[in-house]
Amino acid sequence: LPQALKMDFQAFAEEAKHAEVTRVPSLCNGCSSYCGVWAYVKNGRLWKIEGNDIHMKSRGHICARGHGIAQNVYNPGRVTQPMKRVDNKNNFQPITWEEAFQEVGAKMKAIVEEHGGDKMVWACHGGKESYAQQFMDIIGSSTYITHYATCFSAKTNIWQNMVGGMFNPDFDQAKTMLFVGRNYAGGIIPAAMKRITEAKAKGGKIIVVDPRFCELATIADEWIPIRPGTDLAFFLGIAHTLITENLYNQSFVEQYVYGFDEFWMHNKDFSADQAATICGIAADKIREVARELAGSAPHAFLDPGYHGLAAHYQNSNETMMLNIIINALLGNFWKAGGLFPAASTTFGHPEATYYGPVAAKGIRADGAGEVGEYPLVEPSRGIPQRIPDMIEKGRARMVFFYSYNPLRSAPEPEYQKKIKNADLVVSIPYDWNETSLYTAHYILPENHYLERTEHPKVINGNIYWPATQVATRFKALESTTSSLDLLDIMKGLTKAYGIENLYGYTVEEELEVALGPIGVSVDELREKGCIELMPSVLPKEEGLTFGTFTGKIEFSIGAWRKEGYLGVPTWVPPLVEPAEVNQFRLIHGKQPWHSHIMTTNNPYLMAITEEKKGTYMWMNSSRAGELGIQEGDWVTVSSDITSKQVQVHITEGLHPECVWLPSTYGTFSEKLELGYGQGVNYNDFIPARIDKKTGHVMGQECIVTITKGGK
Amino acid sequence: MADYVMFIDPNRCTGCNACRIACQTQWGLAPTLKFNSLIEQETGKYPKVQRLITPVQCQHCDDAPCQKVCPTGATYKREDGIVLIDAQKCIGCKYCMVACPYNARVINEHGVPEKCRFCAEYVVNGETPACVSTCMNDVRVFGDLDDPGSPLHELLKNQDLIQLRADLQTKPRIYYAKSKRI
Amino acid sequence: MEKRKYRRSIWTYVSLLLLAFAVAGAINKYLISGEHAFGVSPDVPWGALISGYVFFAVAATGTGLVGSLGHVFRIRKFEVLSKRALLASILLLLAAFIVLAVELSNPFKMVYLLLSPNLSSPILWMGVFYGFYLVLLFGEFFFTMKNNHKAATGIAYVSLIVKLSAIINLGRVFGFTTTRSFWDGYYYPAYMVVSAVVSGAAVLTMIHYLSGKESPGSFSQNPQGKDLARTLSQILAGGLLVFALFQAIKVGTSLGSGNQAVAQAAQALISGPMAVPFWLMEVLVGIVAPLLILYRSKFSSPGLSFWAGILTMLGLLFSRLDFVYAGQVVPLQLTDAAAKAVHVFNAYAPTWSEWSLIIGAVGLIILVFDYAESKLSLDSHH
Ligand SMILES: Nc1nc2c(c(=O)[nH]1)N[C@H]1C(S)=C(S)[C@@H](COP(=O)(O)OP(=O)(O)OC[C@H]3O[C@@H](n4cnc5c(=O)[nH]c(N)nc54)[C@H](O)[C@@H]3O)O[C@H]1N2
Ligand SMILES: Nc1nc2c(c(=O)[nH]1)N[C@H]1C(S)=C(S)[C@@H](COP(=O)(O)OP(=O)(O)OC[C@H]3O[C@@H](n4cnc5c(=O)[nH]c(N)nc54)[C@H](O)[C@@H]3O)O[C@H]1N2
Ligand code: SF4
Ligand code: SF4
Ligand code: SF4
Ligand code: SF4
Ligand code: SF4
Ligand SMILES: [Mo]
Repeated sequence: LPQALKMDFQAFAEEAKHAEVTRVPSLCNGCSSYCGVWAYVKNGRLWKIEGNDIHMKSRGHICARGHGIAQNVYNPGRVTQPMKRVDNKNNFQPITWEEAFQEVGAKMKAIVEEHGGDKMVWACHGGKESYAQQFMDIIGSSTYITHYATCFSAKTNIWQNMVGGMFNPDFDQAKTMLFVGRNYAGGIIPAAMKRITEAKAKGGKIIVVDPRFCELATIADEWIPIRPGTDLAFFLGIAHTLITENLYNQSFVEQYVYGFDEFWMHNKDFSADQAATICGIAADKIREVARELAGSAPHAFLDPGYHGLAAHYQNSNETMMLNIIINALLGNFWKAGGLFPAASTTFGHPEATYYGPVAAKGIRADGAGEVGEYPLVEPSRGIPQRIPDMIEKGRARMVFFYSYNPLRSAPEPEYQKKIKNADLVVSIPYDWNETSLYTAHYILPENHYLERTEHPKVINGNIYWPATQVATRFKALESTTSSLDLLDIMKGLTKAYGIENLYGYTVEEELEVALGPIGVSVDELREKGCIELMPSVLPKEEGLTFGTFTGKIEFSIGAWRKEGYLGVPTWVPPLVEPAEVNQFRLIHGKQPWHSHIMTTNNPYLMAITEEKKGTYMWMNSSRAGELGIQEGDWVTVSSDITSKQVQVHITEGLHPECVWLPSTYGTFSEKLELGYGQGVNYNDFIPARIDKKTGHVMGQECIVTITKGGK
Repeated sequence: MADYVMFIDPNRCTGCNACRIACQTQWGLAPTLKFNSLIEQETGKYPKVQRLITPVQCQHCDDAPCQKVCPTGATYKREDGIVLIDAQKCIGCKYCMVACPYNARVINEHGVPEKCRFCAEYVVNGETPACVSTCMNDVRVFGDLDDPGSPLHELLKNQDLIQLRADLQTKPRIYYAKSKRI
Repeated sequence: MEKRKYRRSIWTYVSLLLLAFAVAGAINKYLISGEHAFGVSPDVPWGALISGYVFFAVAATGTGLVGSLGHVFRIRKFEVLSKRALLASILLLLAAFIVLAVELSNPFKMVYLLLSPNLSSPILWMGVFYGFYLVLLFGEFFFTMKNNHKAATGIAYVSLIVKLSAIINLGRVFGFTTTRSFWDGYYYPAYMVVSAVVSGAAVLTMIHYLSGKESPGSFSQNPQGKDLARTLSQILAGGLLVFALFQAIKVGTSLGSGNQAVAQAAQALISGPMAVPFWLMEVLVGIVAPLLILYRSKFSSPGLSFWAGILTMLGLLFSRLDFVYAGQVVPLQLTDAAAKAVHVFNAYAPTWSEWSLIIGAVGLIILVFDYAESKLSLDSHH
């Protein structure tokens, strides 16, 4: 129970003043932004967190999830000690860490000896390294998989191919900002919103294109509802307008673009008028947006996006290509108010302490980057939604899940449940997530983020910031459970496996070595929480080079041509279309106060859900009227693979062709009592498909039939 | 003597709810107890739609109906303008809740109708209220009108201001920017 | 005074049953569900217990008011009822206080009403007037029992002023706040006075009949008693007519009010969430039925008047529930930009715990009254 409830507030405040309150820097673990936070600890207990003013993702501001997730230290859904599965009915028995290490280590050894090290899969949320790679290098496994195919692999893959890496928007100087399927106010990066609202206050124009009147639309100058799945047509219409009306930056294109003519050859007939018939936005409006962008260029951008379109449709790859093409036509690369690459730096590494034999690397179990399988998919990210398939085919025998929950974050949970058929499944979560409960043979809980010190991270990405930042987590709280840090878990496992000294350092030592080359001391980092290095990415007029084969922005992708595809994008329709009066496209999105799928057991965040009726599925009022559905009614939603019941929110703010689900709910782990059974999830309705080129899940190629009633 | 007021620009609010929970952890409130709410209004017909989100909390009225009706003086106003509740004196009659035009009060575990405290014990040390500092859209500005350096002077001068339910003449200490949308 | 033995009657068991219900409700509130035992919310902070409090408090003052026709206004035929009227008044007021004490989360902090009173608060004055009234009631009852009519009458004069103030002030508790515009203004003080007379007449009608039944041969059967019964019935009928007129005017003007909140509240009353309690209980059971009964019996059947009294009280209970809820049923309009949503009402339904406490209070009154009836000599002989 929170302390203040037991006394009156003055006493509470007094106590806060007199009790020893310490302030420890850390990084929020609520989402990939890893915002810098200060944890306030009073009498050994977490009191609250505040944002770190320096950190480029938060700039002192913390979102609702950040506050909630910090309090998860005390969440009853935590796994409090190592667990071993005892039956097929999700019953577990607590074991000691020593037992866990010995049993898991022995099984690992047996599997590697019998089947080879390449049968190991490490699947994690990913992003900021783990210690697994070093072990996998030794036993010869290549299959390090991240969640990206469920998030935004169309985007990163295409940017790598066409530009040589990601570029990010500079809000501060922008005069026109076009957001298409990118809702910064719902898929939150706090500092981005701060800068967007500030830019608006300075006169910057915000245009939001989204089938749904999303949170960002509330502060936009204009909301343009688009037919879901047709953004590619809208983009082609804009590009066509820019080119035919000579509004594009010709000198930029001449200097820095490769493949313009090829692109134009294939698309010169795709006018704004044709786009209009597909995307439902008037041709004049499409032209107006193009002119508006061109008028402000280069201080204008089309936001590169995040999740919103980048793992959603059969045409997501081409849509991402057009995103780059439009920005290139605006000539905004390296321009104030345009797009910039991320600033970065390199850390030092502790000296290797393992000198034993190293096995040759096997092929990737998911086929990412492999000839004849998924050659275009980035092997650094992999294809997480097909792990059951790899197991069935004997390509994967032991699977580790670290901070990752594909049973809920990947499509088709019933299919994902087959993961438990592997010879060995180990999950390293902090709570009883579905993957652990339904598939793991062993659960090895990691400490909550406020309970751990970690190696440092470079803070960059997604939004422009001229200088690199370096930050890390310092242990703010003693662990209240018998969970461990990842490093200690890896040490225990590898030692039991038979490798004595793979990680021959403590995290403190690692931290010091890492910071060495950039001249920052651990104490300084602890004091400031986040350190900003010298600005290194500033506007450039001349001499731009891009990390592609030609050194230019390539409108035509060579790797695609090699595989027999057309190198440039052309119109590709969505895979499926609604046909009947009671059919809709099922689309989804982030809710500002929930993170993916991992916050539904948080009492604070769920109280907001309760109050805001946050689990409801949105439906356009005229469609609802036709079906006789009213606010709060239960409906049955059926797709090819399942049928579920949910309550409906009626709104004017949604394209009539789709229904929209907040993407967070549908928790089905009974051990997460608060979230269990609340709402439904889009992943329930879609089969586990793989996009041929970039491996994403096509999360919105889903038609559902909706009938009134059901509960 | 300080003279605390808050400025809220609902035109910037996107309804993230961070203010609510930042306040809850600041004050150790239970999850369902909250001192600030978001009033959401959707207007218009598809595709011409608008949404306005107005954050509402105790307005620290200078002519506070809650204070007028409180039989024991448990609800009182500090000289710096902040309206507080002395839990020791509160009989829990809930008259203040009935009288408050802003729905600002919630009953806590002790049967005391609590509400936003303007972070009273913290702002006197120059700290910023939790709901203000956490807000990514800078919807809220808190300050002391007796401080000539406060950005509030400019804001209050240059904005079209309204006060909630000005017709009731409660003299709130929260000033809202006029809605540009609804 | 002769010693009498308490005889258990059907009333004893009925009242004990009702009390047991209340105990269960109280256990639910204090030991099991806490605040959730009651249906109140931040949107509707005042619920059935405040209504119950008003019901009992107004009945107490009303009984005192009509009862004082004997002592103060020297209407002789009422004097036979003096003791019972005073006792009923005391018990009703105690019931009111008990219900209020359960409603208050921290009743023991009421000393601060004395230590740091806020003179502008009508609830403070409510405490003052009703507290004082209770003291006066005890005094008047004491001297009446001692047959010291001089002292009793003296007190009764003061008491009349105090109780009138108390009722009017009780109306002010609601009318004081401009926030709840349905209550705002002078109507509720007046409503309280009129309904006090109605409930006083109803309570005394009932007592008169019952006391007559208990000791056959006493006044309710004799001509003097029948005359009193008729007068009480006529007061009751007259009161009900005025009350109905008042309510009709209130609802009518509210419906036509330019103030949306007021009009909406009246809508909620006649066709919204309160429609059934309003039309069925408040109007039909509480006004139309008793009037019909009284009229058809030509005011001269103590037995039928008794039933009219019961129905009236039942109707009044719902009237209290309705008006307390009606004041809070329309969501507060916090921003003036919003187009007012029509027919969106704050929800409130009394929980069984809340009902149990009101019903238990009735049980307590019956129990003590029955006990006193057999232990004390409440018949007045002049
Ligand atoms: N249903 C659904 N699916 C989605 C999304 C969605 O919104 N809804 N979003 C998509 C997107 S954009 C993304 S990025 C992915 C994310 O997909 P995931 O990475 O699978 O999901 P998360 O919710 O971020 O967290 C996964 C698990 O991490 C664990 N965890 C949390 N903190 C810690 C910690 O400190 N240590 C350890 N060891 N474990 C921890 C939790 O147990 C949680 O279950 O999902 C994609 N798929
Ligand atoms: N609150 C919150 N914030 C987060 C996260 C979180 O889980 N919760 N996760 C973080 C992560 S990992 C990510 S990837 C980002 C995601 O950030 P975003 O990509 O901005 O988030 P989404 O809500 O997935 O998608 C954005 C919008 O796309 C719209 N959309 C759906 N279909 C279409 C379409 O066909 N066309 C167009 N134009 N729009 C469409 C949706 O309505 C939604 O409003 O958020 C990050 N921040
Ligand atoms: S955006 Fe919110 S949840 Fe994500 S890291 Fe930042 S504070 Fe945490
Ligand atoms: S934190 Fe700011 S943007 Fe978020 S809901 Fe509160 S006021 Fe609105
Ligand atoms: S907003 Fe309500 S609680 Fe706050 S001072 Fe005004 S009347 Fe009192
Ligand atoms: S509940 Fe407490 S603070 Fe509110 S009016 Fe009653 S005594 Fe005053
Ligand atoms: S000012 Fe302080 S008490 Fe009031 S809502 Fe903000 S954080 Fe809560
Ligand atoms: Mo993501």
